[in-house]
Amino acid sequence: MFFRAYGYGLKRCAREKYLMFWNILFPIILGTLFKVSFGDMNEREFMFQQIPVAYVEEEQSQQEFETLLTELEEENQLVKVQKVSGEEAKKLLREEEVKGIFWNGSSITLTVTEEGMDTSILKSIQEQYEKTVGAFSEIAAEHPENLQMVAGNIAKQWNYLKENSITNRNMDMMSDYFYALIAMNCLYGCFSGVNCAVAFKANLSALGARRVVASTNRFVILLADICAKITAQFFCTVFGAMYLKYALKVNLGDETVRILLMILIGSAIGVMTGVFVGSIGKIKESVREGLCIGVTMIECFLAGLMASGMYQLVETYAPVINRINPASLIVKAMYSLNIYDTYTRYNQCMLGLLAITVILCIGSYLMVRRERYASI
Amino acid sequence: MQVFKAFFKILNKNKTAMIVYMVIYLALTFVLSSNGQKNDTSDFSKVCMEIGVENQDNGKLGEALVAYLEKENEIKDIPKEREDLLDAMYYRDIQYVLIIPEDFTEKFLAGEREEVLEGTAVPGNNTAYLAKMEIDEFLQKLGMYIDGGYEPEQAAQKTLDNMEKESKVEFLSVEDSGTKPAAAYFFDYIPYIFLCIMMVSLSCVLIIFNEKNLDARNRCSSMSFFQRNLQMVLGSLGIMLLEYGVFMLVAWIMYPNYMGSFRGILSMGNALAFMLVCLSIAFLAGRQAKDDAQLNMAANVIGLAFSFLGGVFVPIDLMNKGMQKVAKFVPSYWYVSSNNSIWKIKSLSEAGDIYRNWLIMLAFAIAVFAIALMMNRLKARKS
Repeated sequence: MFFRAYGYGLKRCAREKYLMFWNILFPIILGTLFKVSFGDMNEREFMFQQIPVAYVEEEQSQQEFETLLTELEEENQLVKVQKVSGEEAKKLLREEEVKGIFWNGSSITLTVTEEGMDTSILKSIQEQYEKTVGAFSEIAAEHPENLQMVAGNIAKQWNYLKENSITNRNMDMMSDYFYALIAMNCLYGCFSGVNCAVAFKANLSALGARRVVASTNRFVILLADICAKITAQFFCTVFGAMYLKYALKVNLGDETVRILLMILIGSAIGVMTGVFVGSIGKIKESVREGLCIGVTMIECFLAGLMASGMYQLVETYAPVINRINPASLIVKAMYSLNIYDTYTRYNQCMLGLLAITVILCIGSYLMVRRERYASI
Repeated sequence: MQVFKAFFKILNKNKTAMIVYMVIYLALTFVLSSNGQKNDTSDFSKVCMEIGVENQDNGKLGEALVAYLEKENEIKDIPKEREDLLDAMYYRDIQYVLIIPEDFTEKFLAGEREEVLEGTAVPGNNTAYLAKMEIDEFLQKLGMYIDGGYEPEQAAQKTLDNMEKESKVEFLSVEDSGTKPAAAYFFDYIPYIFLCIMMVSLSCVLIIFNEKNLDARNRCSSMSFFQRNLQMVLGSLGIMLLEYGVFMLVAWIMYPNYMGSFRGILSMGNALAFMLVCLSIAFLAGRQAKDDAQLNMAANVIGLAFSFLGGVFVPIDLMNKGMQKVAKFVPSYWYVSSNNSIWKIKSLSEAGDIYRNWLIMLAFAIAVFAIALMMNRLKARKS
């Protein structure tokens, strides 16, 4: 009987067009919009690219500064210099073709349009030159006998820093948006969960009333129905994740089996949240759905679906929320798989997710057990 | 004016959703505008980095380096657990990790300067370059003073003094150094909220008039087709003006100075132009959707698509070039484009592009409205 009810449950899922929209199409649309809007943001904003800068030579220009810029362009590939006239330089800056203008005259001046990482680096170049000149003249005045040694050491161009690499994993912060999207997709199972509970209660639906009078044990039907919803939700979310990974080329890591396991438990939580809300008292179905949307959206908001860095903010001020919020746990589990070398934190997240599922199951069972309907 | 009155009676029943949208929006705007106002000086200031430093140095030079870095950056302790360090670097709580070994001063004074410090950065990140440049800059000057014959303490002090001198940085024009006024943040997310709120109000009302039996009953009433349609148009405009009025009133209460200036008037005009686009979209959706569920889907998809593609949520210049071209086919792009220039212009005579953007939005509104009427006509023929 279980498998027959399970089969019927799957068929009913396939016929719910609106659920299919929210579980398959909506995450795909949202994922595409994310990718289009900030898919390349990491490369554009945070990754280093040679800084284009205009260079204008004025009267009494300093030859050494020009040499420094050429060196930085050719050897360090830090800047890309365009030698132009003053007017042209301003035009280039206005059109955002360059990040700044170096005016080489009796003093070096930098002109920019904004404060940022690139312009800060340009300012550092300017300072490096001016301060070296300053220090040089100071030493020349006070210790002229050591000037040759100083000049010799500057020419050596020491590499003071030994560069270490912390990880070669994907450190793109924007991935959090896609992890949160997968979490949302899992938790959208709550809508089918509510349907499941409504179809179980005789006071809420005709199907529920019919099931009460059937000879089959109601809990076998409920269990089969829940399993069917979880299966459907699992496949919808896997489809969404595959779209992200293969169509949008989002880096979700290579731990496929562990990701699938996480999606399965995430889907179970989504459906069980719906069943739990659906089992509460005697409220209208629309209110139950509203409650589900509200709860899911708050969970996803706190996990970083709408604002980047939200997870870390919550972790700083109220870490306990991150331990009990299923969306945060899913985001953290995905993150752990991609960033850490060990599975300890992933396992902790999975345990947290399992615990929440068990609590929701017990809570729902306590609410629907021993429900009897009077003969009318 | 029965139809007109009925419009507002239905609206009154749906007011909860509208109020929820408004309250959430106003709360978010308030947070965002107070967040965005951190920097209000016209002087250039360098990016402040969060640098994790572990100073094990037994001598004085390590201390001097930390004192220098501290001036323009935030120095943080390095987390002990590797996982915590990875977290901090992933979320950019720490952008660069610097370890100063115990024999740093000793080696530096002895002239061994190659790879005397250890640095770790997020791979490829541009902060690594800035951090490296700042450290190099300091050590180079320190090396110069030491080689110049100064005592270590004196050399460290001289280097710190040398670093104090500010270089000359100018902004290309005055408005580049200006700060976005708090009121401008209020208008930033208007496209999203106007679209959603028009969908949950106007479309919900129209959908009720669409209901087959009710529509048939209305058609056979004594009121002329023209009269009924006229009242529906007036009702739609009424709802639009009511919602627009509420938002503008809140803006006047929160930012009276800005709203009283010519910039405030331009922002209001810009919002009105976009509101007309929302009116036409809500009209189209309200006439086409079969039930609330369909409307809900349309509101979410259109609201989010317009906001993401038009540059409401993410600045347009962060998108790739191809997408920036596609964005021009989305009305919110023109709203955002005006909104970004309104707070920068100095007089109404510079607002030529803004007026052009209004006309483009108006053209969008007329086009969508025409599509809605055409679909209505096709539907009427079918039935």
